[in-house]
Amino acid sequence: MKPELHISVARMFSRTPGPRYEWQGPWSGEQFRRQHLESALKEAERLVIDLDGTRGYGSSFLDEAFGGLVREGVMTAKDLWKRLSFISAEDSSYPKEIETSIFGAKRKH
Amino acid sequence: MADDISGNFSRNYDNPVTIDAGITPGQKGSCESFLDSKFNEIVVCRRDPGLSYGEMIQGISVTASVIVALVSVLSVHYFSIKRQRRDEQFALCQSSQKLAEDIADKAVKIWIKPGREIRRDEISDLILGLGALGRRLEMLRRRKKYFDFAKQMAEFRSTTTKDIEDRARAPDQSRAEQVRLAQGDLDSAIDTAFHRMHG
Repeated sequence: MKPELHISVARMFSRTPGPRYEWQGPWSGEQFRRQHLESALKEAERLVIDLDGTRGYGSSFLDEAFGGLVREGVMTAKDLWKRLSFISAEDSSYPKEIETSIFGAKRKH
Repeated sequence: MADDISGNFSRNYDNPVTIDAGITPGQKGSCESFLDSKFNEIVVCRRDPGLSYGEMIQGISVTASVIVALVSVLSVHYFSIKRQRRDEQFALCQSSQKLAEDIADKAVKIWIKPGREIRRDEISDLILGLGALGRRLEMLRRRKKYFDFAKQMAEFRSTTTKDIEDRARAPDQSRAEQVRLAQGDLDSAIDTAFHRMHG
């Protein structure tokens, strides 16, 4: 397992992140979670998520991408939060919102 | 006042009489010689008086004037920069508040419509606006850490856009009101921070 993995949303996914679910439109939070976050959490101990460079995020995207990991039972909120760190020089409110999403999420099953 | 020391000197220049004029080797002084009625040479040495009180006071007052002028220039410069920064911060605060109001107006219009009537470009427009607002508030935060609106901004974004794209939802008047409240919270947080900073 790698010690750290760097994921840039703008460079590796999209500069215009979209809605919550894949069926609602392109570049959804669900798609980002499945394509990048879930596999990266298996590959590395720690993920550094670079949130800069996009045109902005909707809350549904952030909630589904990060809170979705807890809801889908990938890991607990506490463990997940320990393994994530963020680069968000353009808007420091994103990590705050992600934290709220993660700790507010309830596991589905 | 200069010290005058006068004394008699023998004409025998091979063995001159010396009188202590109180002038140490490092001090500058000037001597003049005269002959008295008996042709004895009188040497009068005058110690270099240095600066007189008048000259000293004049020097001090010139230095003080220069210092006062320098301090005045520096303080005018300091206050002008401070005012310029305050004006910039005020302009940024005002434009952020205006942008937040525009976003809230658009969001309210979307939330009071049923989900199936909402166009994707309306939501994109809202998200772009929120992105711009977040960047603007971040610019403020970088100027002064006191301008930290991350909590209010996160709340405003969440209230405005969370599940907005759900096409199955009914018109949601209460969500529209929450958007207004969140915008009001952000607005007053900006006002409060600015007034605490600048009075």
